[in-house]
Amino acid sequence: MEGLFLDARYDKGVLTLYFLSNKIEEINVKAHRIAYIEPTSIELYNVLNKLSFIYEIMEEEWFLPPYYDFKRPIIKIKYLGSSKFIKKIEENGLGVHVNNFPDEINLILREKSLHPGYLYDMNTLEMRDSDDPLYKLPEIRYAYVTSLNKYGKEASWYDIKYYKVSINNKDDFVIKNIEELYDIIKENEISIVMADVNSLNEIKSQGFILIQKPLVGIYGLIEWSRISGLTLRQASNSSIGKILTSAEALEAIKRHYEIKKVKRVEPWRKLGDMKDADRAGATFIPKPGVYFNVYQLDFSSLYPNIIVLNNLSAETVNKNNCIKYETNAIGHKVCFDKEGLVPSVLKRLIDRREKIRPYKKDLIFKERFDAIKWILVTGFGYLGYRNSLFGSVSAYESVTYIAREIMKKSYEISNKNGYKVINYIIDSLFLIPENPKIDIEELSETISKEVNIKLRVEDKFLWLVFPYTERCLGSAGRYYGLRDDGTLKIKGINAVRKNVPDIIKYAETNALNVLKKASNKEEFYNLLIKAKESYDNVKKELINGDVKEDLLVISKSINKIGNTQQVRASRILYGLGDSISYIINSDGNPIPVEFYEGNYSKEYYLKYLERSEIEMPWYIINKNCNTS
Amino acid sequence: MGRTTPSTRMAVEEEINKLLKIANYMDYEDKDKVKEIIKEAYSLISYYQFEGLYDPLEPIILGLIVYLAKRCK
Repeated sequence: MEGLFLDARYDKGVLTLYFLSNKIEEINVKAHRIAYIEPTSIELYNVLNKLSFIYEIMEEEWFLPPYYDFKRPIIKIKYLGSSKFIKKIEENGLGVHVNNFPDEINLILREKSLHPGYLYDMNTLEMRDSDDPLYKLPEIRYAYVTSLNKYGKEASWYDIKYYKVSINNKDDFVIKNIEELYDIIKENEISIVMADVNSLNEIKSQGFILIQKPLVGIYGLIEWSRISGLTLRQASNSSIGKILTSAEALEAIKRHYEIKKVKRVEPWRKLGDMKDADRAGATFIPKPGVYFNVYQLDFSSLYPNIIVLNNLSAETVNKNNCIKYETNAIGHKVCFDKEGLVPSVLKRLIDRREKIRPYKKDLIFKERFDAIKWILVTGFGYLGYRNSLFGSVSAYESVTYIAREIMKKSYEISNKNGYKVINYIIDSLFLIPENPKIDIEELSETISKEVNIKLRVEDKFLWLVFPYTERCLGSAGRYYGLRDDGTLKIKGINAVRKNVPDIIKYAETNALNVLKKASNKEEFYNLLIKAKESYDNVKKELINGDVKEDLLVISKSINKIGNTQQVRASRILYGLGDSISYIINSDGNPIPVEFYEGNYSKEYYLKYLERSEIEMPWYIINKNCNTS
Repeated sequence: MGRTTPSTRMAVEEEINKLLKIANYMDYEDKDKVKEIIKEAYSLISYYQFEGLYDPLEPIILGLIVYLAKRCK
């Protein structure tokens, strides 16, 4: 009988495997613990041979970091019992514990050829699956549990009023008591329950897998498991960076690259050289204004593609023992003798994502597609993160340098072909066809060929606004506009920001919905007064006290408030990632929603609305933004 | 890790803010115009993205050139 391998636990010589078939099946197998030790003293062999709980000692050849150009014998041991002896070995300078990322259980699973997220014959434990990204899954019955407050928003630990239980993203149940959940699970034959932090601690796992609600949905999580080798539980508790690093660790183990934290020191440079090299991707400061007939062109996975095409990896940049290399303009030597570890992982992910792309209208594939996207987004950041296992600042600098060169070329080609560039941000260009010599598709193809990375026409806007920021400038990541399919695209303004009270979002969205009817310049300017009126109406409602209190709630993550001792202590008490919801009272003080008695500060919210108005188009047209 | 990019932008802003403060003290009836020209440098920082910026005063000087060019039209 086949089952989807999802989770595993190890305790005292027994590996418990959790498979999903019709229900969750538990299978127990005997297994040894595994550890890899890099010897630093010959004495290590004598010590290990004397330990009776060690069942097997093997010597394997592994490539050593940071450049993986030399092999060294590493000792692999299989044992039972406590792992305390490894710490003692390290303390006595006999050896270093290596290959211990992400966790010991992943080594044990690997030893048994068990890969989470794949289908297995549950009797023989043989894999019945392939690496095809369009893999089929058995039917999964799952539930999302979200705790909500009295306004129907995600609750904090102290203001939970009810729970929403969503079954397979279709049927929703509302329960007041968490105990009611178990009947729903039983009736609906649920195998996997994903709960938010607040509900997680209240649910007891009974015949189902209980995990923290992931960012990517259940199918995305299974994809993460397959890519990273982490169990479903591990993946649900991991940051995206850990998922990526685990995928890289899988590849490292395949190549016999030892996994050990090493310092990759930047080469000595003159200050001027560092100033040239140590820069981010190209970002424009757009001129605030209303623009008509704008195209947005996006590079497809720009940074991952740069990494892959240029073989940029921690061990390939500034490697000394290299035969075939190129030195880039910022002085970093990139080795092409062997495909880098990071590029090989990212290439696999890019290919995988492209294979899924045509099917992404289906929820299962959409979640897989997005799950890979998240990892690719992290790929670049982790390459430059000095403390990551496979990171190097030099590789990171090379990526941003090439990205700037690509944007420069795109800018020049666009101008040459009669397109005015009004904004660019890292991997996105905003163009107006002023005197176009070729059509937009041809332009994107020309640029794609020139830079060797696909540039797609992402959107065509009938009108697009770059609003003022608080400092009366434009910002590359703040814009909104009407696409030619009649939908609005809103980025970075208060209407879509998380920690902004709904009244501000409501006012901005109302105004933009009025402007949604404008399909050309004339209609846009004609509707401006009406749009402003709708914004002003919200101000009136606020002054008259006609505003529903749920529009006034401000929710902020406690993690973002600050890192004082008090906040850190409350995190331990009330859980990580919690948020606090409050309303500004008539005396100007923030009051948690549970204690709010109905008198809000008109002055505070009115000022907020007025401040926010600088994002609206009538403000730009009147050019009345002033900072000093 | 793009460590110098934010500091470059901040350095230019510091120069601009310093000049704006000085402009405020000036006993000159067109000082708003002066401030407007100084502020022009903000929008020119973008053009240094590809070639790099070596002195925070460069965009301010370029701002003056842009202003002169506009007047010469």
